[in-house]
Amino acid sequence: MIVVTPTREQQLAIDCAGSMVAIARPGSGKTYVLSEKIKHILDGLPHYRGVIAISYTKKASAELKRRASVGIADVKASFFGTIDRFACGEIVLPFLSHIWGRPQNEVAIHLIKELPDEEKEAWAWLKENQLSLADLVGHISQVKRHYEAGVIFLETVCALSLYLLEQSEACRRYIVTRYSHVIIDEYQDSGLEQHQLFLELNELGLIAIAVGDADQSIFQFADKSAIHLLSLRTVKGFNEFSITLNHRCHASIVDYSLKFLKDDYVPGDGSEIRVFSKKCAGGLDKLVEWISGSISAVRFDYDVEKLCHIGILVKSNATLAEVGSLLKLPHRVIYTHKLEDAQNPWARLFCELLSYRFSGGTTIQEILEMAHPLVQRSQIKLARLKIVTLRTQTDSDLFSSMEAVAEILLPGHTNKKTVKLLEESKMADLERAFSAPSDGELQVMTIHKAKGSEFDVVFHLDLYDWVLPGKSKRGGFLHYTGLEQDTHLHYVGITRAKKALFLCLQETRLTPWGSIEPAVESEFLGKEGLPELRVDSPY
Amino acid sequence: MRISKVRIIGYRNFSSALINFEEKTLILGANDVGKTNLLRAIRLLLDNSISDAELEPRESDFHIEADGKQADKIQIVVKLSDIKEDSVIAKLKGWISNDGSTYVRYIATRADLEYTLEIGHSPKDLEQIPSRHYLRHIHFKYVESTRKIDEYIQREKRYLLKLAKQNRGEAEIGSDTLKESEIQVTLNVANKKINELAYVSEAAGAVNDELKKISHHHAGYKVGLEAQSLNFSDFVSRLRLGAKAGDRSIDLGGDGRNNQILVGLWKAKSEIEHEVGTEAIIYCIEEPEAHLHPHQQRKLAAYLVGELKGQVIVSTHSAHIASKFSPDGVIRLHERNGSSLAASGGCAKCVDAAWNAMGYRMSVIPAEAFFADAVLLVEGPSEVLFYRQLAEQLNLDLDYWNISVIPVDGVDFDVFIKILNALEISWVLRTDNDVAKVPWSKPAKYRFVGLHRALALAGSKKTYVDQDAEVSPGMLSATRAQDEVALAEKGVYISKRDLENDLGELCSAQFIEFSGGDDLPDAINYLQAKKALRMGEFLGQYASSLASLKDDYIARPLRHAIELASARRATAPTK
Repeated sequence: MIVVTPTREQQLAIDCAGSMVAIARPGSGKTYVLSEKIKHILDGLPHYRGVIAISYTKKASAELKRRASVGIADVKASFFGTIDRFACGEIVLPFLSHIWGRPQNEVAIHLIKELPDEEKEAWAWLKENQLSLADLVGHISQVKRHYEAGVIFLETVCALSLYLLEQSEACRRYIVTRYSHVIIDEYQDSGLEQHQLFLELNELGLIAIAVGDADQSIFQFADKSAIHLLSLRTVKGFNEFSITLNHRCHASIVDYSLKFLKDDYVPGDGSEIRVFSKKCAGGLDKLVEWISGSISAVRFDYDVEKLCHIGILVKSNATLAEVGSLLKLPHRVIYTHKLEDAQNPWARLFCELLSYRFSGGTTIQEILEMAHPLVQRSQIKLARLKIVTLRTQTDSDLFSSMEAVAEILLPGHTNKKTVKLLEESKMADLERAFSAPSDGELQVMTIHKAKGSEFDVVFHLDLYDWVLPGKSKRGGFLHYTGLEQDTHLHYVGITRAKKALFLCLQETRLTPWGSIEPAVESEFLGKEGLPELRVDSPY
Repeated sequence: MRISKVRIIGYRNFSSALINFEEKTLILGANDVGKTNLLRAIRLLLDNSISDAELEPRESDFHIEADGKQADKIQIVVKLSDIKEDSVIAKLKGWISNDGSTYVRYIATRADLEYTLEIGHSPKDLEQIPSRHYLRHIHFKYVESTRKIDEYIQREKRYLLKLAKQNRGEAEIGSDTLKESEIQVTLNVANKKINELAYVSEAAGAVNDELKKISHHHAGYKVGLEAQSLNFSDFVSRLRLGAKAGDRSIDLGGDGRNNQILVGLWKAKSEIEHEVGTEAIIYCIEEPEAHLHPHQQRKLAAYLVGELKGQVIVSTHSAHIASKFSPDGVIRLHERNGSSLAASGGCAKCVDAAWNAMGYRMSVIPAEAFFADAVLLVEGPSEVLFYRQLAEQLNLDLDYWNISVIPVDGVDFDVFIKILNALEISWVLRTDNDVAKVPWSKPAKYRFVGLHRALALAGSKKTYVDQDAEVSPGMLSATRAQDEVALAEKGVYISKRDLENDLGELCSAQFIEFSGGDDLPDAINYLQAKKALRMGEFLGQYASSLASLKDDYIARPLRHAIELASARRATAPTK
């Protein structure tokens, strides 16, 4: 969404000089506001000072960085990335040796998640995203022991940062000298550690800015919750702002989304309704057939330039796979390859190499910059030559070449698990995961994956009972698996659509245990006032 | 930020040396003792103007011991303390300790002539780094002694122009651009006019005539002399730094003034280039006294101390600079066993304490002592005149041996000795054997003031009980003789009575003749009436008679001083 002149509510948020918490609704131009704010701040800072800009994903950080750099001299002193990378790179790795000395082996970041079960037990006390400083301090000797053996667990880095800020004057001095602001996006998904770190940085004198939307909190399964965002309203010194105007979606879609969330919402008088419901006779295959059949008409009517501007959104991975196999039109199923989840240097390098190989989204220079600083120039040259060959290599040689490149650029960080993961991957899967979606492909993804994106037209599937909202039977009683979360999920799904939204249902569905059942319409669709805000699909 | 400690192992002159630096530090030392090498060691780590290629060690960089063995490894560690500059703190991240220090280390191996660089917050926690990126906000401004002043100035003029251009306001840029085009127009006019000069346009007349005869092809073709189009930027590039005295343009000054200009330019440029306060600047200048006469040297020293904001390191051969510089640290490099060391184990502050004790007495005369290999401390000007003349008559070349004869002139010898010890400069002293009456004592008691002084300076606790009789010359010499040998061993020489009396005894005939008096006591009185003046006159007339004093006790301090100085030159350890 390109907004050239800010709206009043956007301008207020941009102008606020102190700490703040901003509630940003979908389509409200949040990234615009953040990038303008950052530009504004950087303008008044000397070149060696910057801001800490935390985003939820690498992609979001890169986007924010790109937009904040437009027309601006230098963002080099600023940090754009995830909270874990910040904690590791700016606090833990530089300063932990101040209090615990330097271990014999070079320190490497590992995941407790990836430990064998017997070892995981020792870490049972650690509740990820709910780890307080006090908990960490209670087990500090265990953490120290591992550090002395060269191991730091990623799940501890935020709390460790808090610990270091407390213990090391040099650390505090560095952070305060280098950074003027800490900005955290998607605060509704903040874990406890991040929240404590955010408040601590504020205490140290950094201006703190939190941006989020409690209604879009969809990661509760990972113990993330909006309570921290909401608690900021009561912290002294924090100004509250709301950026609510939805620029993205058509007015009728906005009305629908807000009415869905709040019973007492009074919709506008708009004429045209762009929210459609469609019930298909038969199962998912009939639905997919219908979608394929209506696409060209929909494209024409809503002036959709490219197929990739149309999204098919589902809740579960199972539906995702099914739709992918049924859809005859050119499409791209977006899912994350396991390599992208792995958190070690070799895995990251492999991802960039694959991105280079399949999508050209990464340049050779960007890959070479991932090298360990002490690698000789001559070795870098060798690596460059090898990387160039990747594009033309026959698939079977690809893996060994990639490993060779990793050996040169990141010696000593060999990760056998990651190598195994790579070698066992199917080439087709890798190509699917790492090539850029082309303009001529429909996009198919889970609502979780769709977060932050937008489409001209959305086909929202999985809208039946038991799935959305999720339900399960326990002891004879029916109960919701996560009503609030699913509400947010549906809300996110709705607000991805700019021009038209199709709420799709089938008559029958396939249950997880293979039987065919009638698909009951989701209760979300029957909420009071909603049916009036939509019409039957004319297609 | 400042350099606080430097450790050098196996590099050039240095086998193993530890040197401390303060905010304003003076480096003293004989030629070739390694002052420039000390600075070079620091510059490898801190001076960006030294390229990466120059960091590579050569065989000759590895120290060679007195026994001929060559070091296999070079290690240079510099500790930077009091880091307050924000840009440096932001850049060096975890490499700065809680108390604001960082260590940088250079290690080179002779086997493969490779080197590594490391940095960290503690000597035990150093991380290897590929290059000296940490120097981004640290600027080591160095002016070497062999500077070509003219070249430097002409080079920097370009910089001055560039800077001035950048600092113009919009209005000024506008009017300058206008002027530039006006100037070009004028140049074009000049061009044209030159070409119109009769002797220019016809210069090639004869040639053209011949060309026509050679070939008809040349009918329409004419050669001629033309002024090359004069260009505005040519003029600017030929601008030379000049000077004005009032309204008159004069040639840029002689070397001395050029030196001053250089220093001024150097400082102005560095302050403009780097934001004082956010960037760290360390100034280092070798021999700032070059070509300057004494007053200007002192003025320059005061300028360096007062105007440069940041650590200042000065190495010098000038007593004027040394006396005026007000350092909080003095480093004297000297040689021992074929390797160079800093005096007082490199504790610049220790020297500073003694230096401060000199206080107002510090001037160029005592400051000369700091450059000596051995010092003969005497009571006053008469003694200085005497001993210098005596040395000449005995063919003892004091300057050759770097020996200074310094008068303490009423000040405690103690003050001088403290500073000489701190600088590890050998000394001998000659003091008078004076006696003082204990006030209001009846019967009169006397203290052997001179003797006690001498004994204290020699480190002895021995004292003489007050006498209760008139102190006769005999008594003086008897008591004195008891300690003469022990004192001499420590370099403390005490006169029999005082200079005039002692010399008079040895040259009585010459004294009487010179004074025109009847006997020796008269002559002695005559000389003592106007001490240095009459001694000077006496020495002028009777210098040759001093040659006979060759083996006398009075000449022993000189010989002792020479022994000490020559021991310094040899490789054997000294006292």
